Amino acid sequence: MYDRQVMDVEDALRAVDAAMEAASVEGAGPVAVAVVDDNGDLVAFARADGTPIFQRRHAIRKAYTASRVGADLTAFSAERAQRGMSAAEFDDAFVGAAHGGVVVRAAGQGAVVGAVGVQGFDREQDERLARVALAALEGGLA
Amino acid sequence: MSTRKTLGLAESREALAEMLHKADEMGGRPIAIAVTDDRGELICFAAQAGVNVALARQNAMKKAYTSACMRADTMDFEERVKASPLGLAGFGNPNLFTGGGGAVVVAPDGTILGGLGVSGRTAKEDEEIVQAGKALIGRLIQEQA
Repeated sequence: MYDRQVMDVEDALRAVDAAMEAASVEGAGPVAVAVVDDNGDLVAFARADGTPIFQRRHAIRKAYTASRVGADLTAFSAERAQRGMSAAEFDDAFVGAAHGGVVVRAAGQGAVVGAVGVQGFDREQDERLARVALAALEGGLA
Repeated sequence: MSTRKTLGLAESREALAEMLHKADEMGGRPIAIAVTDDRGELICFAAQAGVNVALARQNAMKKAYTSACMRADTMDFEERVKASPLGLAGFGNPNLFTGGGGAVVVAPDGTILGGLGVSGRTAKEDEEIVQAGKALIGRLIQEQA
């Protein structure tokens, strides 16, 4: 047996709230934010009023992808491009986002605990908001 | 064109917190909670660590979806389904759920605003938690009306 780090709902909700708050302060427009666990299963989610429905699925897909591949999506897509790999090679139809997702690791570079996915209207804003959520998470992870 | 009252994140998030609080107060197995709009689309969601992977997430979302789209708490929807000769299969929708843990959110003027869903414990416990959320969100909506 061994101990596995678990994504707690209190931490995940704090991260979602932090990203939503930052989006609102920035006047970022409608965004959706998802936090998943190490299995890619949804732990916390919120979307701002007026968010187009497709953004729910994209936010969750981004978090799922980052968690399953164990990498930030920008790094994941750069590596895929460099190696000439298609997302289809992962044999998982839900894997395949390119930005706006960051992986959550236990204390530095430890095991994957989960991931954050953000879907708005701007790549850089998605990245920034995902990192706001990550910072809020890292404050609370053991 | 016309406008339609729609459930917002502010009141949904408060209802989510209320249901988590109620669940902690009661004590028991971990749960998942979903809040959806009138189309059954997710507004906010939470799943406690260790929640049943096979059932709770899906069922929380199904219960909220069913309440919003069938315009009834899932306990009442179950009675409707029992009275129908075709049963649940007659609806032809695999996302519908019957039983405890789903509640419809209605504005004072009767507009259907959304649904709440709780899953992870017994039907009776899920129902008690979701009704706490329904009571709170009802008060919040009343204040806004």
